[in-house]
Amino acid sequence: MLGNKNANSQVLVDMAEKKTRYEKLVHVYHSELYRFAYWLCRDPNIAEDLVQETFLRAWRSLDSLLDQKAAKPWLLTILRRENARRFERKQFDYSDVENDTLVDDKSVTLDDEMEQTVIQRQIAKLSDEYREPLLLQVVMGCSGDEIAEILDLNKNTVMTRLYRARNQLKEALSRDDEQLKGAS
Amino acid sequence: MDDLEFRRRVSAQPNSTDKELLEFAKQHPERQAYLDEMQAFDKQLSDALDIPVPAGLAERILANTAAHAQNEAPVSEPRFTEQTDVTKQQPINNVVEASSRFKLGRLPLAMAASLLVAVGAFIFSGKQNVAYAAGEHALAHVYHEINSLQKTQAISLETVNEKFAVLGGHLDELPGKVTYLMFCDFKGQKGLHLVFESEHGPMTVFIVPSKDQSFGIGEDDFQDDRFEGHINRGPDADTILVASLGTPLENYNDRINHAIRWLH
Repeated sequence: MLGNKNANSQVLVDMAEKKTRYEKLVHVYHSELYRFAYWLCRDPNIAEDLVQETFLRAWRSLDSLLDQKAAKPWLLTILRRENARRFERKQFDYSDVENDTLVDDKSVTLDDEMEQTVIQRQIAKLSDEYREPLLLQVVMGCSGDEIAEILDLNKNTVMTRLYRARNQLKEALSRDDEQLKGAS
Repeated sequence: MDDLEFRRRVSAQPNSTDKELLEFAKQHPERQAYLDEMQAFDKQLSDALDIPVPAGLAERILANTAAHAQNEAPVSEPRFTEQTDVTKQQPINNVVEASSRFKLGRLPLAMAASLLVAVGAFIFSGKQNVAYAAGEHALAHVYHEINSLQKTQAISLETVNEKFAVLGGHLDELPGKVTYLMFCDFKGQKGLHLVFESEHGPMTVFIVPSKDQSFGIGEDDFQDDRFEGHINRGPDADTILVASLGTPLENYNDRINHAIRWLH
């Protein structure tokens, strides 16, 4: 291994480039991925673990990401796999801080807040097959083609599910509205 | 496109930029109204899902990757070297989960991977490569339990000492209200993880028995963009203090170390 200076310095350069690429990925995607993870598991600590694990795996296999434009579906595929795995895997060795720190410091009125809570609840009630494409579209800003790739479905199926997801939500929310009116 | 098709497409993708779709909407006020309504609905959905992202998440992700990149160097070592002279190996060998991942133990691949990861660890730590390991580990731990710094409820010294007694120690005092108390795993060594309110904000204290030398190697002082820390290596335990950048740790170091007594 001695006398291989050029090869070694090339390795260093490659590693530095890899690190820059990686840091960019983290900065660009961590917020969206966290939100998506949160709505998959509805727990801020698990969501953070999922995002951590996703990026760690991304780091390890960054070389397999050839086209930077494909980064989002690639990261989402890793995250969904991690989410599916999380019940099988032994938990982290560190202790956990209990889940009491989800603070929403945005200034929203009480009405808005109630409405948002109602919407969140109805989204949670959607079946997985409808909820996931919707989250990918609304939270992650994925196109129909990207969603199809991530969920391994054909695009028509994805579009049908998105359409039904919104219809179900609208119906459920107008039912909620009527119940509120009926109650008052 | 007919109206049914139009509605399906709008519902599936209210923010579509498809020209044909937008043209079709313009041809009739009802269609345009439907498009506007679905776009407004989508905005509502998007607002409802837009929860705040924890502060410092990106930094924690990078710190976690850096910590793993270091820790993983020995993972790819073939397992049969485990019995060789440990002192000759790099300090980053003190890892928790070193064993089971590379079961094949194919030497050339393992060596190549090992070189790459070691180089990665070097680049990540940026400053002093492996001598940085102990501080890096302490910082990664603080970031992992970052919520511990937001606690405000007081924990009594008795409660602290009930736990500390398990490790054979006793704490006479801490220069502030204790707000977090946990047994934690430090590279395989069980230690105490405390947070107290110092005059300069929350200060993390790790008290880790030194028999496994979990914090045995590396500089005494360490820092990143947010925190700084100091490792005090004692005969019984290593005491690690971590606080926000700019905190005069030296004011606390002696006081805390003098307050710790070991029951032999």
